[in-house]
Order: sequence, then C-alpha cells, then structure tokens
Amino acid sequence: MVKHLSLALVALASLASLGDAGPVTPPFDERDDDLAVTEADDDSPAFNMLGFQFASGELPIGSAHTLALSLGLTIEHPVWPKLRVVGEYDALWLVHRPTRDADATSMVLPPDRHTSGHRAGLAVRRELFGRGNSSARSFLDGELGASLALATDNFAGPQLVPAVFTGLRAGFDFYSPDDDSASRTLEVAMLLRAIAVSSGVGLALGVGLHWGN
Amino acid sequence: MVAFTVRRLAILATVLATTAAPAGADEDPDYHEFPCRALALGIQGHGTRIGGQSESGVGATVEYALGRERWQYFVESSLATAGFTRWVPSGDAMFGSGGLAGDVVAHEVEHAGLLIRGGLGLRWLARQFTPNGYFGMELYLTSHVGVQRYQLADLQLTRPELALGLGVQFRGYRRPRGALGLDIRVLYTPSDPDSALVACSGDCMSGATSGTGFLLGSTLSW
Repeated sequence: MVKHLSLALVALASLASLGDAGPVTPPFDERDDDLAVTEADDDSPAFNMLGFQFASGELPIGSAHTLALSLGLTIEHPVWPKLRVVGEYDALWLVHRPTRDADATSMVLPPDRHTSGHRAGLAVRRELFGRGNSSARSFLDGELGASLALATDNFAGPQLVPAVFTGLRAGFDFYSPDDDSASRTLEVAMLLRAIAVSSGVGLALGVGLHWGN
Repeated sequence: MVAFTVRRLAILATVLATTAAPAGADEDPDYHEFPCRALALGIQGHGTRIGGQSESGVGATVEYALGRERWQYFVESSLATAGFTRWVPSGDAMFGSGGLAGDVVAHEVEHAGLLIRGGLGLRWLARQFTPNGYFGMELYLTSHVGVQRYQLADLQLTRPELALGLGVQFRGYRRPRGALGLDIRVLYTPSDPDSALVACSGDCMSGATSGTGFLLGSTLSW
C-alpha cells in the first residue's frame, strides 16, 4: 500500500509540474486595461512592436557629402506609460561623393570609394502627442538614442563609427477589430533624425512599418 | 480495495499528466498560415560589386514555394540585365589640353550583359495584421543561398551569394487567394577573382574580397 501511495504521489507531482507550463493568457476581451486597445483619452497601448524602417540622409564621414542609406529591423518594448525602449539593427551603405577636378579639360581618374556595414542602436522613445479612437490613432514621438556602426571602407578598411541621435517620429496606428488577428496594431510612421558623429552632425529621413502583438 | 483504488488514481494521474503537455511551438491558431504550394512571378532589381565596381540591373524572377504553418521554403530563379562602368587609363600621363604632370587621362568603358541567378531560401512569418478574415498585411523574414552567373562581353563570372532580408506582403485568405509583396534583401557575394568560391574568365578585375549589395523585388503569387 505504501508503495502504491508513493506512486500516486509521484504521478500527482508530475501532473502539477507539467500543468504549470506558463502563465495562462486570458482572452483578449478579458485582459487588463493596460493591454487593451485605448480609448481616445487613454495612454498609448503597451505592447511590443516589431517592424522595419528605411532611412536616407547625409553624414559627415570622410568627405563632406556622404549619402547614408540604411535598412533594418526595429523592436520596441514599453517600459512605462508613453515611454518605450527601442532596439534597432540596420544594414548600412555609405555612398561617397568625391569632388571632381575643377579643370574640365583634364580627365582625372576618379576614385571609387564605397562603404558598407552594420549598425546597432538603442533608443528611448516617448509619445509627445496622441489622439485617436478604437480604430486609428495619430501620434508624435520624440526619441533619443545611440548607435555603433561597423563599416568597411575600401580605402580606410574596417572602422567603428559611434553616433548619438535625436529625432521626431510621426505616424498612425491602426487597430484591428478582428479578435483573431495575430497583430492587433499596424503602425505607419515617418521619422526625422539628427545624427551626431565625431566629425559633425547629419540628418536622416525615413519611413517605417511596424506590427504590434 | 484501497490498493486497487490507489493504483487506479496513479494511472489516472499519469494519463492526465501526459495530456497536459504543452503544444508544439508552431501551433499558433491566430496566424493564417502560408499556403501549401505557391507560384510567384515578379520583377527584381539588384546592385552588387564586381572587382570593386558598382554593378546593377533589373529583370524578371520566378519562384515556387512550399509552405508549412509559419514557414515557407522556396526555390527561385531570375534573369536580369547587368552592367557597370569602368574608368580605363588611356596610355601615359599627358600634357597639353590643360593636363598637368601626373594626371592620368582616362575614358569610360561600359560593360553590359546578363545576370542569371538561382537559389534556395526560406521565409518565416513574423507578424500578421488582419482587419478582417479576408486579407492581411504581413511581415516576414527571409534568407537564401544561391549562385550568380554573369555573362558580359569580356567577363564571365560565377560566384555564390547569400542574402538576408525582410518582406511585406498583402495577402488574401479567401478565394481567389493571392499575395502582392515587396521583398528587400541584403546580398553578400565574394568579389575576389582569386577566391576559391569564384570562377572568372575574361577581364577579371581585382577588388575587395567581398561586397554587400541588395536585391529589391516585387512579386505576385498564387
């Protein structure tokens, strides 16, 4: 009998550990107000965002005019009401625009300088203005962050390019009325950034598309 | 009697424990899965480097894909134009015509031809926004490995390629099912003609050992 009781206790203990597989996610309608779609007067919804953004601008790296193109993924996580932490990873291309020789009759062989690399950044983003309803919402965010790029230049070789940036981001959030939608939010945004590197300050203009969970 | 009851309770507990096991990672009922089979046609532009020189072109692409839940495995092929411009020195340094000592007089030479690509890849459905049950806007992550073959007048180049990227597509979930997508990939290729991965004949130019380019395409799939 003791043997059978021990076997039962072991089985019941196994059941308890397997049953506790993780927190139970309640249906969307029953979730706390913090996770629900906002009303017009509520704070911005607190959920993670995953998306991409494409940016173009000029950076004072090497020469006076360097066109910087970037394409990357962005992850956003809420930490406080209206304040979010943003992680970015970009593929980076720098197109150098060398100055041509002033004497048009002398065909000087122009150097072909090109740079490509990777950039990782971390920023905080806070909503400055927001207005909308349960279907759509417009917003204006401010952001502040830093990034580190590893760029390979065919003239200078690999180099690290640290930068700090600040900017504005404006756009629209669209909310799905479908309870079965995997992502309840679709965000379209434009951004304008001032990026400071060791040799000066440049500007970047971009567009992004993000999905909230 | 007690022993019989305890034995039955133990068996019942074990059965309940196995049925309480968590579901597989890919069994997510909220996502509309990729179709089992799909054919896609589209246009694609590319930009790479050959011997340190920028090369670009545009062409048509065809793809066949097999889907399983949030994963899609595809084979693709494309035929595109290819061309780049190279500055070629024109003999010794020259004086006169405003030229200074040490200047190299050069002229532009255009190289044009075809690029044939083929590869295998996969996609993962990362996000899906569905305002109703009929269509949705999706984000996927993609990668592929393949081979490039350049056929230019004075250069024949074969090299491998690796691409990582993402895509956005607008997909319908009811008949007629279809998707219109935009795909952007970062392209990695070796450029050094002395590399074991590169087969080059003709005017093979020296340059960087690898280059980062891009593929940008739009496809319509069924």
